[in-house]
This record gives sequence, structure tokens and C-alpha cells, in this order.
Amino acid sequence: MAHVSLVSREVGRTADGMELRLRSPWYRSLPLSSISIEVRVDGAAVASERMRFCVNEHDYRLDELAGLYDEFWFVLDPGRLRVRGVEPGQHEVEVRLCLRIPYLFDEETGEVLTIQSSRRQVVTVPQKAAVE
Amino acid sequence: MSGQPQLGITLYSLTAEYRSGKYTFEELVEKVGSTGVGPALEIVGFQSIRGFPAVSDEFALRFRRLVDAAGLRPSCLGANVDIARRRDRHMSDQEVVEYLSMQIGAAVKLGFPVLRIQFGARPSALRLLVPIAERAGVRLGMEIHAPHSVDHPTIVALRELYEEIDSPFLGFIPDFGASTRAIPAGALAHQRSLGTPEHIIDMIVRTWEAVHRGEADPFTARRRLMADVEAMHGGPEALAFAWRALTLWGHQAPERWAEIMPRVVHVHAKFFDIDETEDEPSVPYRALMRTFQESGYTGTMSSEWEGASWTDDPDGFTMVEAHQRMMRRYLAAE
Repeated sequence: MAHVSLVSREVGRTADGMELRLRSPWYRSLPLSSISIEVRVDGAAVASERMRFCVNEHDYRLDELAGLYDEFWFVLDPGRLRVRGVEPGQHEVEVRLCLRIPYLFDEETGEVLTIQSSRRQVVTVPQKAAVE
Repeated sequence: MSGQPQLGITLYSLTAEYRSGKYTFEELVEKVGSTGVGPALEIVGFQSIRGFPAVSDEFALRFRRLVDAAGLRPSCLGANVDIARRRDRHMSDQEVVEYLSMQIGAAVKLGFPVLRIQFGARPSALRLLVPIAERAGVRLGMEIHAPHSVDHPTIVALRELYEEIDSPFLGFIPDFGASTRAIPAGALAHQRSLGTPEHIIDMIVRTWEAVHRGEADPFTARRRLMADVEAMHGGPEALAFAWRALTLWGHQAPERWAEIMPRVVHVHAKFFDIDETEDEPSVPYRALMRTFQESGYTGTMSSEWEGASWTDDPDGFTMVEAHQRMMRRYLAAE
């Protein structure tokens, strides 16, 4: 169990969908403004309005993250990604996480390094709601 | 021991063990003590401390007791200069000063004499920070990390500023990754295993070699290489490797660290691998140790292992033990 996976094996069920647990692939905590997330379920892109990202006991809309430069995703904490409109049962889930690394930039152009991690796996959303 | 650099570790070397939950932060510090890879202990604030740059009184007390009990001494706190944490613009000098003032405060609270800072802190911001660092009694160490080198214009501007202000609270932290002789074989093998096509790996290696021969500026080469890999649809893994190749493995002659030695406040003794002869195949440690010893450097040096991400079952403790044996061997030989 040396390296931590972007998406954990266990998937939770919410009232109207599923909850994935994500771990940051970076070595240190980063501001939430660094994060962007895309998800596909069974090959279809999930609209960002159908998702919420929960860290530090707050539930954020994905379009809120860009403005949160004072709030950090602690490197050991799973971020809980809630996706609405997913039925119980087996699904192929693909998560793509982009991290904009705020201290690594090109001095001349100002361009900031962005790294992309992705993970595709089959998950089983349980019948019974385990969360909420 | 006077007359010799003081060896130690940065917990960065143990990132895999920490992230996987194999060890907690407290257990890592204890094990650093019991395995004898200290006594100098460096941590990265944003890695080890929840809520950083804020540090609670409770955490600070716990940390000081932990370090004492383990027989360690805080060497350097790794700050980050998150210049681009806002999406709309980079931080202003005043914002950098505020961001780093909090991290200087964290260093004071935790007992770190040195704060590692990064090139996002421009000379104009450093002018404002010096009195704050002096009052706090914390030395600011600008990390010189590849592709920077002692003669890069950004570092030259800092050297001039340092001469002008001439404060013991303004210094440098050489990162030995700025002085390498090759891209580590393990990193290349791992990249192949991720499926990066051979022609792209080839292009990255050839670009690195051109920079190494002095035929191209590393920053310009990195920009061009990233654009080329993107144009070839190399994918995110290849793009990340292109960045890393030109950012982790620098080209500065090891002897040139002597030019800034009076201002060196700490060292990142970066390494990537230790081979069966107990040497670092990619980093000229013999020359590095000779340079630091001949210049009379007696400050702290953190073993910083950067190879975990391409190692199957990383064991940072074992790597750092071997790395320190190698450093001691070269130091004793001088």
C-alpha cells in the first residue's frame, strides 16, 4: 500500500447519488483554488452542477472552488465528491483532477504548472444510503 | 560537531509513508530519532501541519516535546510562496509579505531557526521581509532549485540584494538537484512503464542533454519542450515528465556553490537513488561534499529523497540511511 490512489475503492450512497473519496496526489496541502474536477459516469460527462466537493466540513459547489484561495485541502484528508443522479449498482467512473500548483510558475510568462491525474474504475454504489 | 556539516532529514523524504497512513507525523518524527537519521529535522509546513500557516499553541507544544523526546533539533521549516494561489492574478509584494509573515511566525512558534522560501518572493518583497525576519530571529533561505543556478539572472539579482542589505537573516538554500549529471534511470524506466511513447521520451532526454551541454537556456527549453509534447498529444503524464525533466535535474557545476557559501543557511541534499556501490549515480556527491567542506560550511544538510514517486514500494528511511552513509564517507575522505 505504498502509493495512494486518487479515488478510493469504497463508494458511498447519498440520498440521490454517490459519494467518491478523493485523495490529493500532491505532497502538500493546496488551496482549494488550485482544484478542478471532471467526472464521467458510464462514459457520460457529469455536469458540474450535479457535483459538490466536501472538505473541512464544508460542502462546496465546484464553481466555488476557484475563489477559495485561503482554504486548504489538507494532504491527508479525503475530499468527498458527491455526484447526484447516479443510481445504485455498478458504474464505470472516471475522475480527472487538475491541480494548479501555485508556487511553480514560469517567471517570464507567469504561466502556472498544472498537473492532471485521472483514474478510471468500476464502482458499486450500495443500495442503502450510508451517508447523509 | 564543529568543522563538519550537520546531517539530518526533511520529512519530505518520507512523503509516501506519511500519505499512505503507514506512519503519522508524530510516528515519523519518533522514527527519525530512533533510526538516527537526524538530528537536524526539517518539515514542510503545508505537509505536516493541518491549518498551516496557522499553528495552534497546542500543536506547537506537542511538536516541541516530540522533537525533544526524539533527540532532534529543528533545522528548517519549508514555507511555500504560493504566488498564484488566486486564479485572477499573482500575489502583490504586500500579499507575499503577509503570507510569509505568518510562516515566519510559525517558524518562531515551532523553534525553527531557518525558513525555506521560494523564488516567488521577489527582491522588492524581500526588502520588506528582512526587518520582520530580523525581529523574529528567523533566517530566510531562498531555495536555489533547478532550473535555477547561482548564475541565473533571478539568483544574481538576489545575490546583489543580499550584498546590499548584508543581513545574516537573508540567505540561500542550495538544492543539490540543481547540480546533476543525468536524468535518473529509475525515473526514465517509470515513465516508460506509464506508457509514454519512446519518441517523446527521446525528445525530452535530447532536450535535457542540449541544456546540459550549455546549448540552450533551461527555462526557454522547458517552455518549448512543453509546447512540443502538447503538440504531439503526449498526454498529461508525458507533459508532467517534460516539466520535471527540466525542473528536477539541473546543470550547475557543483563547485559553483562556493560562490554563495557565506550566505548558505541550510542545504537540501537532494538525491534520487543510491546504487549498489552506495553512490548517487545522477548527482556528483564527491564534488559537492568537497566543495561544501572546503568552503567551511558547518550548517545543516537535509537528506531529501525525490525518488519515491517512481519507486514501487518506497522506503524513505532506508534510502536516507544509505544516503547519509555516502555523505559521511565523502566528508571523511576530504
